[in-house]
Amino acid sequence: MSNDKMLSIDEILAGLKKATEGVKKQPGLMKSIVGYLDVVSTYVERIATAKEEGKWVASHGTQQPLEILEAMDVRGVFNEFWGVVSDIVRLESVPEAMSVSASTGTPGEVCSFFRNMDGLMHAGKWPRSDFFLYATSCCDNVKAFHTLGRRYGIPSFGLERSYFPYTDHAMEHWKNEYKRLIVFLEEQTGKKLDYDRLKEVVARSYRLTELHLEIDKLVSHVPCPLSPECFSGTLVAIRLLPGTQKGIDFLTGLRDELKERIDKGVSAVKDERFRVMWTSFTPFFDPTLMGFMQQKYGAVSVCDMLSHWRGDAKWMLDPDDPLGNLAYRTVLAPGNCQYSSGVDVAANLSDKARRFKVDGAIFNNNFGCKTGAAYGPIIKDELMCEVSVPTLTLNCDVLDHTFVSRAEIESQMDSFFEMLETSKAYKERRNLQ
Amino acid sequence: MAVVGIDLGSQNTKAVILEGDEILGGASLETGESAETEARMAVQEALRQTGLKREDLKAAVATGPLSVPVTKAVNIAALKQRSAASCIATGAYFRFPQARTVLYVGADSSMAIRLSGDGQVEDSVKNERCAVSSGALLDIVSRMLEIPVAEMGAMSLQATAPQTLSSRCVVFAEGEILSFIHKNPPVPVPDVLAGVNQCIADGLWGMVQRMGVPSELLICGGVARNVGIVKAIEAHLGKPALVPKQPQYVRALGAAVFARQMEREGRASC
Amino acid sequence: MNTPLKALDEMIRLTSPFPESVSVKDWKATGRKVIGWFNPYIPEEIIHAAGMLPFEVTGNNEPVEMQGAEAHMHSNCCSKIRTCWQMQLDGKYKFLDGLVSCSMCDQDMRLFEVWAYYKKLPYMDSLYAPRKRDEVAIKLYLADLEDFRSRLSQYLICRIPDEHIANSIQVYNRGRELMHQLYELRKRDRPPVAGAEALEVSKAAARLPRERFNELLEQLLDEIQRSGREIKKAKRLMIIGSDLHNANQMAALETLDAVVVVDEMDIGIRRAWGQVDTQLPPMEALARYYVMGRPVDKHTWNSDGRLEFIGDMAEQYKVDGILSEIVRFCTYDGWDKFDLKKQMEQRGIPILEIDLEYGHPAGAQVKIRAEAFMEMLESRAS
Repeated sequence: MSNDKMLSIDEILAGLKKATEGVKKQPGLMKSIVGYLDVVSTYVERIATAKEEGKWVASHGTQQPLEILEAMDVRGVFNEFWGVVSDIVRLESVPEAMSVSASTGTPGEVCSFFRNMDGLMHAGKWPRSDFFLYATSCCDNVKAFHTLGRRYGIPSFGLERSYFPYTDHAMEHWKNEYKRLIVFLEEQTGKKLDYDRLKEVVARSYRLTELHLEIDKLVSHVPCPLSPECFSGTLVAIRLLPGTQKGIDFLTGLRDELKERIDKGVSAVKDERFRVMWTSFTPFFDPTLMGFMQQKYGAVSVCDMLSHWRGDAKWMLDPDDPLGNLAYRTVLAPGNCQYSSGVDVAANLSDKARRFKVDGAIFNNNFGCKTGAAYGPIIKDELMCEVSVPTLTLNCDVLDHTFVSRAEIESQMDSFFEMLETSKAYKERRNLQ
Repeated sequence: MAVVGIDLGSQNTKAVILEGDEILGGASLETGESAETEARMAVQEALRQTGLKREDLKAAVATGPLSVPVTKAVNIAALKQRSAASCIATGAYFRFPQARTVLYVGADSSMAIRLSGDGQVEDSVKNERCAVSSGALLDIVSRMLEIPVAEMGAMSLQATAPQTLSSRCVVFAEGEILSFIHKNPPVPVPDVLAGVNQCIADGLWGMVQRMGVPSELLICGGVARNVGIVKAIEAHLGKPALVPKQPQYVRALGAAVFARQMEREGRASC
Repeated sequence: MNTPLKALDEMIRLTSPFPESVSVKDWKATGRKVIGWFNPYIPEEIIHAAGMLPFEVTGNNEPVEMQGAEAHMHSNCCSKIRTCWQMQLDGKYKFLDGLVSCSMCDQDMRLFEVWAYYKKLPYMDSLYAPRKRDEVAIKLYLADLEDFRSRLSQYLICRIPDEHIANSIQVYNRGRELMHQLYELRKRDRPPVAGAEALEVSKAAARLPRERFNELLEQLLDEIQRSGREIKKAKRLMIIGSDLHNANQMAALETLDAVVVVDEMDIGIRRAWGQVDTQLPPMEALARYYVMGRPVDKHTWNSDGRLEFIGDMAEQYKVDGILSEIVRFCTYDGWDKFDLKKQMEQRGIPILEIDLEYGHPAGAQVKIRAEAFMEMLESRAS
């Protein structure tokens, strides 16, 4: 079986470097794309050089208190993101990893983020990891960390968060899980956590949240000033380099550029005909799709579920209690949506649709996602009922572009945007009667 | 002023010529390797039936999964493309304005569409990844049992004890059907066919349900010629469905209606 | 030829037609409520103590065709939750006064939410099923149980005191003890009941008022003793994986000159396992039992214990082979597959993996593979 297409960390770095050079020569892109790629490259580079710098590497799932890792000089490899960046650098890496994963007996119906990891680990192309960290949110697939840890002799630690986190006892329990995590990390690294350093990191992380919310407000402007190449900018800063100055600098730059674009009347697309919300993840499996939608339909992506903060996101309750803040932050933070009631998610997305003046929603029904599969219809119905926003459901795979043909997607999008344009709600929203 | 609608399906290419409210003629050819050739030939055959010349066609609209490459090939001054859902909805509404949900069942895909009172698409859903809710399973069964697809519907109505298929996957369903016909004694063919129809109809009904319980359901697409499947869907619906004559032409007809609109609005010059 | 078991026939009669059975109708006729539940982290004892009938929401022996369920949940969900939802849409569960779930897996969590959104019942509640098995998890779960008791009390407008719960624990413990006895009998070289029969007993436990179930199971064990019943089959099998409620699926496998002597299902051996400690305060006792009192199941992150348990049971019950059946789209089973196969092979226990649609009879391709597996077992023995 060929392993050539699967990316190693060095190839990812080389690919990102090439992309960074490439965007400098491409006209019409946002300036912040350079900062975006710099954040991603820095992230990957830190992992690549961790060993020679005497740092520890933890492969982890979503909803980790990465600030604790940052404060303890542990470099995180976010397994989901690894699949996303593989798709950016070389689309054929993921399908090959899936084949390899299938050869180990892993069924094709579990999450592709984890199948990609399974395949890369089996082929020896996963970044060397000292330990695995995972948490209950967002789904059952985190069991894979324990399974793969057992298979490859890598110690792992799981953080348990109740599905119902809002009670006092659940929050206390969750905070206690962080303490247990710290004990695990101290045992593994031989280092003690410096709580003062943690407070600083958490404070910077909170600054990132504030910037994120400012950016959201700017992006909700009509017409939308944010182009697709920087769409996931906030998510990338918050999920990859939380608590870092680099993350803050990048988001500050992005915020300023968006302000400037609004002041100058520069928008993502000249003729903004549709404003789109992605009610699950954006199309990681096809990085060109959002640009295509803009070009063909004048459909601008304005928001998504993954970068949604619940409530007013003021999670810094007590600067002297970093663990308590982080615990509270988790239940509000982007990406956590999936690990909660579908009805709750639907209500949040309806609110988001109002704020961002959304015309249509796209739900990527990821074949391997069980949390998504059974709340897609609830979100669709609630959006229609509450804000008259119709939803296009695309049956796809979160990472593997070979799951569904581009022609099929385009055909469905043709139908969807035509339907939107003639709909009463759309015409009313845009005063086109 | 005559116009033409062209539907480039994965199995058949259809053309319908419309003048005012009158359908002058239509043609259907098997889609071959070149969608452009098929499109041109389908239009030619439709012209031949109507006695019109190509110059008489003032506008054209193409639709269907293969419509992308044909824009230049069909040598008609004004040619646009419209989405499959819109064409199905428009064609259905043209035939039966009272239809509120349209179920299109094609060779390898199907679609359920909810219409507004004036024939606009309100919502639509396609069959999910598996082709079992489409004509694909019928083609397989036809080859296995060596019965022409066109005869399977009528034959299925002779069933006395329909054989249920447990699989919702075309590949596994094929294996199951093999086991039926090799049983001792074998399951009678009409019972197998009725079971296949039920399996397809159940999947389609799920799609219809997603559009909401319809007051009037119209069934179209090539598979709507299978009277057994129509009956199985009607059993879910609890009343007769609307089935246009020559239901395989509905999408092409819808495309022709768009061409007519284009022509009337003066957008047919380019 | 073995005589039918009258007590088992009575269990089946009382739990038919499924789900709004004779027993459910009798219960409702007295003005009492029925609370549906799914997955094994719901403490039935609390519902029982509240004077209500806990009723497990599942499919049964008849395949359920999807005719609309996929309007509310996409087809890439597991077929068990789609089946349950389809049955709700068909009106089969209209007798339920409430529904309780536990977020044990993504899918049953979503089933509950779909139910709450599209068909809200007067009482709906959910708990969290810990993925870890330790004192911290017990503490979290206990707090949830106290909240659950409190909310249930508010719904009924009556207290559910510790004494009632202690009494319910006694009743359920008795059932566990009796089911355990039945499992022990299946260790015999010629077990007295087939796997399909034992499955019907397990199902009845979650569908009948527990006192009545206990009575009938006592009678059943007595009948077995007096009849000297023996199932004579060439091969002994263990079934592991997803919960199967269609006894015909089990019976079909047993036509291959095999008898299923043990399983690893939540509705099977785990329902018959251990006792809730009556020396502890009742709520704490429940929390300890439900979190740590039963063998490790697939939703626990650290499945080392599960794999070991399967191997141990296979050896104790002297099985010739293991059938690992997975309902498609089960994430937990999916991630255990690799190590399960490896460990069983290391222990010298042949294992066949099959994918099933919940509630549907095994298709031709499964039967072919099962036959080949049985032939392989045969040639191993000779």
